Amino acid sequence: MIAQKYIVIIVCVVAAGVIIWREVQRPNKAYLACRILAVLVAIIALACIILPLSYTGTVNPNEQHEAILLTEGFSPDSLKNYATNRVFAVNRASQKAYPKASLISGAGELSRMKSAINHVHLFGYGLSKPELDELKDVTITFHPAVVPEGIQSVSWNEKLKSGEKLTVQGHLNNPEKNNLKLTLKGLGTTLDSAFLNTSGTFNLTSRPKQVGRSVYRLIVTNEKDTLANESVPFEVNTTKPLQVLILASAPDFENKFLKNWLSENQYGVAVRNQISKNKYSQEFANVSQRSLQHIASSVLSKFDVVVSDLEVMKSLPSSEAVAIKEQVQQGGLGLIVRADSTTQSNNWIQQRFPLTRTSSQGQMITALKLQDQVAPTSKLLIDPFFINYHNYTQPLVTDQQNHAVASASLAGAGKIIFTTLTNTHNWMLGGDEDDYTALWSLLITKAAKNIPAQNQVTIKSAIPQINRPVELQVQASSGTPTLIKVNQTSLPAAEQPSLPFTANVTYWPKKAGWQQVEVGNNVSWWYAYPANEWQNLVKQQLLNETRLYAANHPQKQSVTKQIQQKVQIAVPKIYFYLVLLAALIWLWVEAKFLNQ
Amino acid sequence: MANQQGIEKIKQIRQRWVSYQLTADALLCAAIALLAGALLHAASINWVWCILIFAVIFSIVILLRKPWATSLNTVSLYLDQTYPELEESATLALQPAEELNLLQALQQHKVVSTLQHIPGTPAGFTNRLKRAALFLAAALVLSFILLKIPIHSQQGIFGGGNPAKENEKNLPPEKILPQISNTEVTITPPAYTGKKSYQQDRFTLNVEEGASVSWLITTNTAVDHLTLIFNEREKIDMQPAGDHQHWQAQKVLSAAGFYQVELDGKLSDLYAIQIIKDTPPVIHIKAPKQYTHIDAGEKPQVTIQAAINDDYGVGNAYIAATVAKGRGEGVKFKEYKIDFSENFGGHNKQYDLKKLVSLPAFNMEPGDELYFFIQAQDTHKLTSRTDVYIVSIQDTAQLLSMDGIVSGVNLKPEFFRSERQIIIDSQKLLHDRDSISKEEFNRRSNELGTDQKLLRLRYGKFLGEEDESNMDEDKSGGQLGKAENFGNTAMVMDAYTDKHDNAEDATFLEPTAKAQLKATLTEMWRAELHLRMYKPEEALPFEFKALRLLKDLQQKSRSYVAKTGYNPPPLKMEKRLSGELDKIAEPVAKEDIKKTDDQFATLKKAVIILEQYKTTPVLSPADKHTLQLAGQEIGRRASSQPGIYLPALTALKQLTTSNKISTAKVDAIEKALQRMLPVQKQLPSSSANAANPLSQQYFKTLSRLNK
Repeated sequence: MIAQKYIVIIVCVVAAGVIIWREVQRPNKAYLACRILAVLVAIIALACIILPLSYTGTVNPNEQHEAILLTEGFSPDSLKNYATNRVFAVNRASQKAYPKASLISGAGELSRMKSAINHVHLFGYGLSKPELDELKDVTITFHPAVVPEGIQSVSWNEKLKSGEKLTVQGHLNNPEKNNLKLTLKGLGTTLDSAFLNTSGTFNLTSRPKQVGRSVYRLIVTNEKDTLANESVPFEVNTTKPLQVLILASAPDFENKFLKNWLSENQYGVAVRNQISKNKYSQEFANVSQRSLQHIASSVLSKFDVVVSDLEVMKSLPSSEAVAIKEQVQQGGLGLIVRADSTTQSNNWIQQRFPLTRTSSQGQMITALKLQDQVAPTSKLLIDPFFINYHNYTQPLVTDQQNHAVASASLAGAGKIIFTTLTNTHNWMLGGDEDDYTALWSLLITKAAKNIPAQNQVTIKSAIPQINRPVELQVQASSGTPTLIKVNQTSLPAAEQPSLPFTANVTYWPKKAGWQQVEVGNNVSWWYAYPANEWQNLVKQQLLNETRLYAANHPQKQSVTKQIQQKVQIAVPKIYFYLVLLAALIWLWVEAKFLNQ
Repeated sequence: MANQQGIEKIKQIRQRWVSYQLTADALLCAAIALLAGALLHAASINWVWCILIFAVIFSIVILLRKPWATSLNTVSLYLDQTYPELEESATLALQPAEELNLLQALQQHKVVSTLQHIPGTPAGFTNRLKRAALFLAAALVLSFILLKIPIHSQQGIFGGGNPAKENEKNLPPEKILPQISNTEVTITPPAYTGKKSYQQDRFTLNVEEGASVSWLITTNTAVDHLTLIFNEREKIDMQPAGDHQHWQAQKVLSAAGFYQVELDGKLSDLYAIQIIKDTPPVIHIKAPKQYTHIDAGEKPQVTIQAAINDDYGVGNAYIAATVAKGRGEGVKFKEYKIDFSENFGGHNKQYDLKKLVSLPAFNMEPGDELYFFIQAQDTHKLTSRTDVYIVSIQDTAQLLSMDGIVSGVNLKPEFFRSERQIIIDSQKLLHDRDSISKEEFNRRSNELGTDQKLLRLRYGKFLGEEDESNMDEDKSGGQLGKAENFGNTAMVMDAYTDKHDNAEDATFLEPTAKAQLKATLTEMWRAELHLRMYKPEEALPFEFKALRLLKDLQQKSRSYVAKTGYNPPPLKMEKRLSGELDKIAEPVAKEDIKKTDDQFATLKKAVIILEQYKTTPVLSPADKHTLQLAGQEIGRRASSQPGIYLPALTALKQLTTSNKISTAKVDAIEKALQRMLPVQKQLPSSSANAANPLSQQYFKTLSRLNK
């Protein structure tokens, strides 16, 4: 730094010497003194621009050098109590709303005035994280604007499986208690709507019929106007058939119907029925035939779910039982087990699913409630056994009195689902395929082994908008993710030292709409919103980020009286530029007009 | 000479007066006609009629007012009154100079010269004209308002009008080929509707099923070919007139769909054809009820009341009746067709029918049943029939039979007769009525009433009713009157309380049986009432009803005992599952179910393409091909439901040909696709999870720790 300073000074001195010598050499000796002066001034100014000139001044840190920064959404009335003439605005709209404010290009300018400003009163919705970072530890007091009317938070499942329900949930801010209508529109059709006349949560659902990427619209209207019309992008993927292994102690209708239903839908099914002692009948549908005489890990690893009875599981030879346990706990295999008449046992499968027998005598007919389904199913004959609620289990199916008849629990990497339902095929017999499908889809989906994703891309930014940085996180299945392409453009990845299999990428989308991410061979899509959409969420985000910054940078209230402190204060460069310009103008004018 | 000038001046003024009056009348009439025209337009009647109205009113007004009858004398009198400078002598100017005396001549001379200074149009002349003009202006404003306000709500008031024309006002304008200058579509509804043919100038059709439609298209230039293409398949070449500017075609439409006009290879928009289907007649039977039971003693007849409605006209209706006679294996059926007395020649839309059917007319006897339904046919030969209604006459013979009730002789005291006996006695009494005296008849009727009462009381005991016969008031009253019993609460209570709610009595019977017994008692009570009033014929139905209810009660008391089961010999448990199994083969079955083609795959692909098109409006040739395939699907739907799918089909055609359409039209296509796609069932699936070395390590450690 010091060497650089000297180099600059030497260069300037040499340059001054040469130029003055040239000026003296000129035949026309008019204005010689003035010219030499101008040259000297110009070179000194240039040197001062290169080397920032500063002087040592004194400031009192206890003395508050406050400024007011206006951002979008501030109310001019709220400024009345702050009598300072140092009012700045970061955008033109705020400046117009409060004409006394002077417009600055960004929060960074305030930090450059740091010598003078050490505390900022921030009005309005606040600033985004990158803008706040520019403030460089200037403390702020945040005076947040009122949260605007409209959607305050929203969430939906962006990646659906075919037939899955799209659920748009959120919170609507409605301080004035207007009659607001929320509409979910897609494919030119109104799919769901809700009315709210106070602030509250909403829940709109629809079952998309199409596959692929679609953009639905969430529209908020009052009696007269449309308040918001936002994109709800999502992607529907076709379901990939799973492989199911059914182990049964005897052929029965429950397993037969399950096998038929799965195989009709192109799911792979293998069934092993015990027909006598150590004799099995084997059935295969849509899967390659392999011996199921002995169930080993190699066989199990080909399947996603095993459906069986507790009775069968207990009577399995120990080698098979160990293989199943290992595949469940480490391989992530799903296990659906029907209960037998034992209500409690220390078997690893039933450990978490103790049963209770209700006092009523025999089987009973009742409608069931499935998880995430509002309407109850049609009635079904069930055994009078219920699964007790237990820690670490999740009830999936209950009867009308909320007695659980199917529960799920984690078992290492895999899942165990325990159920007391043994007559679900009665639905199929009665022609009620919908309820049967809903129940078994729920059970098998909950149990199924996770597919190892090759390279997973997560959007870290809450609302990816165009012309704003969007942060993507890539998680590779093995090694370090390399060669990340967004819209066919390779982007440099920032590796995470603590998690070597992840990498972060920042991208500035230029066009609104679907954006392609390519990691290796894996292509996925995400959506960039136009700048005018989800404004309320953006504002909410600003408020949150600014609040966080304000909490981390509170105003220092030092009690001890400090003497004046010496600080280096930089002279603004603009003065040197002006001096340089004046000197050069004089030289040019002299050469052009006076030197005739 | 001067005289002549004066006359000329007055004539001129008169002429002006007459013309002003005529103009004012004309304006007034025009205002009235204008208002009338606006009203006619509002009532969907051709406004040209208002010209006729104008002519009529104008001629009436003219004839009444006769402005031309104004004489010169009147004019001069008017001038005298209006202009004082004429000195009341304007009439002098009209008289020939020879007839005047000197003074008059002098005055005439003076008047004539003064007349020249009088303005040609006196101030009062235009008053009426001004008022008429004002009135016309007001009428103009009013009629303008009348034309502008929506008239749909007033259609009820004015009524009438052509249905097709009324619809036109609600429909959006059609796009027609620029070469077509005029269209005239004549729709002749089929004969069954009884409607007259009507015309419209729109291509979109909403016609009765089987209507004959003829198109008359006028082009502004001579055209080589003009074809109508129905549902994109069927083509009808239109027949040209000599100049190749007037084209004609005709077709009978019996199915919904759409069509377009092809003019020298140029295709028009698609126009919807909607068909108004004829519905079969609706029959509503008001009486009798579905199951009618005629008890013995009631008049064996039923009144059948029915209302029949149809959208165009009822052609015919009759009652189809079947009589079932006999019982067991000897049932015989006989069918009858009963016509209503109404004549259906008028083909009205609604008929209220009534028919009295006397059952003995069909040889019906007690125990027989009559089944009937009403069948109706409309003018389009569509028939509909009602459910079968049943009328049965009670079989008294079976009711009175003793089979299964008694075995052997069971003598009963004379004073207590059975209900069956009361019925037989009542019938005997009625039979004997003519041969016995009135007193005797009344006495026997009263006795029967007493028997009925005794029977009622006997059954009433089961229900815990009071035992009227044991009511011995004297005895208890006498006991109570004694001095030593004064203040004996138990005795007083015993004497004056009803003890009918005995627990013992109340628990004899089940509640249902009790209710039926109660109903039986009610019937008995009514029978007794009529017997006591010496009207055994009216008592008979109640007696029969009571008997039927009693028999039912007897049947109910019977119970069924199931057969006992079979006891198998006991199993030897030690022998179970101990056989040799090595010969038993282990069956292995293998099947692969082929994936059926998703018939909606094209539509789903089309949705993807359209969703893409919304953000990047570019279509590749492959995309266009898919859209065309989807268009065929939509076209198939549109031919049956053009109202719903035609806008989508039109928009899709536009998209595949011109590549550029508005978002609203994309929405229209998507809406149709959303409607056509079936609801997706949720099938089991597994979620993707990033498998990374860290999580694998985690699970390994977890299972090691659990061991």
